[in-house]
Amino acid sequence: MGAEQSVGAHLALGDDEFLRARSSADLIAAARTADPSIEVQEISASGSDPGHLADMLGLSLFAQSRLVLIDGAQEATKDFAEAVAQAVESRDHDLLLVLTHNGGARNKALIERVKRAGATIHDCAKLTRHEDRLRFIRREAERAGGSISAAATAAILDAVGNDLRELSAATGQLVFDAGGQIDVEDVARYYRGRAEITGFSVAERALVGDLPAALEALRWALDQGVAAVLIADALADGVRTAARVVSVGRGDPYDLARTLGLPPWKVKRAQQQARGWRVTALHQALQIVAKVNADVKGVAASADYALESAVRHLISAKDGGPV
Amino acid sequence: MSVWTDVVGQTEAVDVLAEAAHDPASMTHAWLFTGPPGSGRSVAARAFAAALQCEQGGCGQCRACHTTLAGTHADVTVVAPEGLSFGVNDTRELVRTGSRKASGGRWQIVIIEDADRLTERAANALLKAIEEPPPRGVFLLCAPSLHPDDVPITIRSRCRAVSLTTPSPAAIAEVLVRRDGIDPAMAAWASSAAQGHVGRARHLARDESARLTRKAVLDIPASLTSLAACLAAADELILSAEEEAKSRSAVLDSAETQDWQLAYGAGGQGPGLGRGGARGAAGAMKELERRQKSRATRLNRDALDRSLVDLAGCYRDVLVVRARAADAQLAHPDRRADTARLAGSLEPGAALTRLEAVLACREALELNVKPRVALEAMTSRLRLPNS
Repeated sequence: MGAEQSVGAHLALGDDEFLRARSSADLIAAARTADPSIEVQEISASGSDPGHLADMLGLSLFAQSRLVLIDGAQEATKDFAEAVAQAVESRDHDLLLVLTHNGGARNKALIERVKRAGATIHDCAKLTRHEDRLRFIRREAERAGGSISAAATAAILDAVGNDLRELSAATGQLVFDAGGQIDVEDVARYYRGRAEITGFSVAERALVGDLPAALEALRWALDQGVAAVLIADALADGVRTAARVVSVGRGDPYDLARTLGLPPWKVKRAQQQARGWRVTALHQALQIVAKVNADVKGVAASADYALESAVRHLISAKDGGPV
Repeated sequence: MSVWTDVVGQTEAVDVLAEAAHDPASMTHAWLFTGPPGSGRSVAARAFAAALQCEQGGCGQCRACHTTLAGTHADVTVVAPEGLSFGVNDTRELVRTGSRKASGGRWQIVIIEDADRLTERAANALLKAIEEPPPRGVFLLCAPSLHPDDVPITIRSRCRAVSLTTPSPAAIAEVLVRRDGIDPAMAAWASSAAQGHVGRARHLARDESARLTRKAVLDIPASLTSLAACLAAADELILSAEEEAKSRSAVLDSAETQDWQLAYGAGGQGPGLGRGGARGAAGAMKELERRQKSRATRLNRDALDRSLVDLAGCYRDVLVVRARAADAQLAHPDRRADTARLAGSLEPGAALTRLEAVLACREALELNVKPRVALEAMTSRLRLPNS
């Protein structure tokens, strides 16, 4: 990063604590590279008053330029926020201000003022979409100085889970171990199993009719401590949605979404899952999921067995076999 | 006018109870009232309590009778578990109450409505009190039946059982007209539609929406011609139960919450009162909310259960019609024509399996199966053949 970037103000804004810490650390590192003599100070906005800030913003005896990190701007008192805003607006050329804010409603006015003053915004919102997490892993690999194939990216996400810290650590380690280029084999060598599996993934596989995959997902889910009741509920939900989609017949997902009162993406997914289900099979499936719902709530001696047998029965019903 | 007038159609039980109130030799310290829902278990228990407190053995005129029937007599404690269950701590408190000396010098009476909702530990706490009763303490328990699922056998064996029968429609109609001032025609219809449940008959007679809900439920069997209809019927049952529970608990909750807030000094001014009322108010409100939630769940389940009982009645009627049992009373005599049509498409065997499906659903709900899942499984089994 060039020297001109180390002057001004930056705001790491968003609700992911890891990303905020990461952006501020990056900014500090960049500033140090640009000017090794820079004086770096950190202050937490909670419990600080304008006096503290004035101390830090004062000219340094030893260094020409200064970087002040103000952490957790959402916690700032009114006076402190005012002092911060003024500091940002003063545009001191030897001063680099880095603010972090969790994106919540508190001290929103400060964010607006900092934005108007021309601060650079770093988006640190939580990653909620699958694609975002994949992109994050790719970036992490690049950051560690390596690269990663698309299949390996997905494999890491499956194996490690959604926690960004863990994803970042795992990717960095893999780049080191694999010597730069990460492939699926490299991931498989160090990671086994699935980190994030929910009842819904079990239900999805069961409805599609893939017995080995459904049982595998079920065992992983139970192994990871997903509550049996949640899996049973997911099975019931899957069957019900499929039944509703089948009962209204074929049609455009958007039209059906309105009649069924479901979001279009859910209708689309249910249509895929409902493929191959006949009405009689669905009637049987409704009985199976109701039975397993009672089973996991104490009727069956073993909830695990009840779930497994329900999955088998569902697939058998779909294939027109005995239930 | 005596205290027994409102105990509808229970001549035998009333004779036993009146005798006990008169003659100390036939009195005992623990009574268990059993009978089908709506037969007036708690009414009978209260009437008995009044008869015990009254100098004349239940004249219905004196102060003791009035206060007992109104629930304000100092020596009569009535507990109606509103939540899903009744816990051990509440029961211990009750036992303490029952051991007090009666302030009126006669009996210290504790009435537990819905004793089947006592938890196991609560029942054991109560057992001790019934086993070694306080000298003037009387415990009156109400439960649907003597079955061990309802009342632990240990409790049962220490109580004198009074069993109530299903009151006849004529008796119910009579009390609706006399006590609640309901139009005779409406009273006759409601009492015949309520399957012997006095409270339900009154509700049907008074509340238009209850009549509509009943009609919607009874229309279900003939409507189940496709998978979509089955799912829709389950949906409708759940929604109407939810609505009913919500509207009833909203009325109960808001008044109760206001009372509590007032009791904890909300809106009060002066020293010692913070903005949020007295100390401990927040905790108490949380506790109240927890109880209200439990009550709302129960109201919802009760509403669902009523619908299921009505539905079961439909299939029972089909069986009655198919068996040509001319003198058997129908559960829904006002729907004779619909029942006959339904009987045309349901073999006796098919009707029986459907009846079983409804009862299985009630059981499933008791086992805490998600209502929607249980009801969908049920309506799917109720689907009409050849459709």
